[in-house]
Amino acid sequence: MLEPPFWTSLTLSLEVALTASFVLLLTGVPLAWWLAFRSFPGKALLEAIFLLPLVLPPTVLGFYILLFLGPEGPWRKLTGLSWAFSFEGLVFASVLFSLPFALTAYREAFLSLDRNLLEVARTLGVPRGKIWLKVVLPLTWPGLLSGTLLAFAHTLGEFGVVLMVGGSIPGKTQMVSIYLYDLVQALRFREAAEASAVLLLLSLGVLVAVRLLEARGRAWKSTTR
Amino acid sequence: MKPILWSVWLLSFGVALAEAQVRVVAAADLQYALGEVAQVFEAKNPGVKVSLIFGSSGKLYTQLSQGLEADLYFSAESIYPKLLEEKGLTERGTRKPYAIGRMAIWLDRKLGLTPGPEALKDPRITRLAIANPVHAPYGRAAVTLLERYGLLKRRPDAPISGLSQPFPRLSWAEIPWESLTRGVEAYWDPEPLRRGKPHFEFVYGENISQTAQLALTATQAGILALPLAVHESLSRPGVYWAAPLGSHLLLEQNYVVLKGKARPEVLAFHRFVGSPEGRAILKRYGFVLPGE
Repeated sequence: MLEPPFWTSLTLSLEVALTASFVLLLTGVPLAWWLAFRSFPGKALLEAIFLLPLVLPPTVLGFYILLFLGPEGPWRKLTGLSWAFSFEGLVFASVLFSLPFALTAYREAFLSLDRNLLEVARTLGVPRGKIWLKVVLPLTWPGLLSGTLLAFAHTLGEFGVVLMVGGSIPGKTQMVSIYLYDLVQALRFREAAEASAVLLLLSLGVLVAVRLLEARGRAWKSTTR
Repeated sequence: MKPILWSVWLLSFGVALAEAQVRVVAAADLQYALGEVAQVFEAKNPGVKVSLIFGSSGKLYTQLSQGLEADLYFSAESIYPKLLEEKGLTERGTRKPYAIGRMAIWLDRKLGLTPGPEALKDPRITRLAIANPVHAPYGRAAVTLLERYGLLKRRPDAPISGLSQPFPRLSWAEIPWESLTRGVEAYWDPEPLRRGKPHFEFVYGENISQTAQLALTATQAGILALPLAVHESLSRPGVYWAAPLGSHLLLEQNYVVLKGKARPEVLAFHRFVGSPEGRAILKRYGFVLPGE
């Protein structure tokens, strides 16, 4: 049977993933819009920088984030906040780590927008906020949501980064992936298998949702065109 | 086949003939010490190459029992090599102690403290890095060390099920470490460490070298394996106190030759680790040697 620490760590993972997805939505959407429609010198370089977390081994990325957030790090000196080994630190790391996934999905959603619609709305004098509400969001929300869900699922399963930044404190920074790893290390294979099954079902649900949204996004587009 | 390919093929064959390989998997506390042992061994045995892989003893045990190809296994304690032996995965009679593991309290030099158990009460130390006691032998030793110096007190109401007697009365050897997944603070009261501080918490490393890295980069204090603390990468930025033997869980460290791997070069390395020369290197890194 699964013990309470499993559910504690699963709850924590869900909270971190949910918060990180929300932050990604707030920061990633404007960023993706900007990258999709503006061109400026050095754009390719900037895009490459945002994709870098894909390349670095997660533990190495986590190590640098820990240095950045640690007692001697620039974050502490700039803001006075101590985010190493805390919920905030986990969210910060997860946002950075999942940024490439979300950003790519958001950008695709925006690039598939029919720009004529935007032009028409603009020439009709529709205010910018209203264009977003009436044109952009109705057409792109499946893409935005599927990107966010992908980032959510990705954060849920993340191991290397949170191992470094979190320090595996039960009830505080021990995320479910790390708890699972600890079970395996302690040779408690049966419980590890049960915990994995729960995690797999949960992730499967999220990924099915992503697929359905993508299919819906495609159907949406074919009816508007 | 083109001549150039032939020559490459022949050349690689020649290299394989000339270089016998000894594949070692070892506990992370041997990171520096075993590296030096291997270097000296290679210098004395031209043509033999020692490849080293480090990890936590438990992880390596799991990998070995699932068929990881290796010749020698160095564990940070004796349980895992014994388990391998029981499964018939080792060469009979090759399991031997190579050292007794010792702990050290390591502190960032910038704190300006005299290292020792008392120093951990300093209000600036709000986080202490230890290896995860659920599966890392050095984590278990760290907990017992803190308990020995009165910095941790057992909780009478510790939530461990299925014990023969109440938790506070168990000896170090009887504690069911693998079921302590709620963290040290669920079972031990760190009140002496917490007193007069804004907050205090343990930070857990996956293995002892990651614990060292956490101490070095973020917590400024950690309970590490002595062989890591004496190495310059930790002794330059920090100060350490070597815990007396017997003040923590005894870590009798064993090594063993794996089944079917008793080739001459493997046995030679096995012997070399136990030779006066090999022992001298281990001793320099702070290991206590068996029989001393």
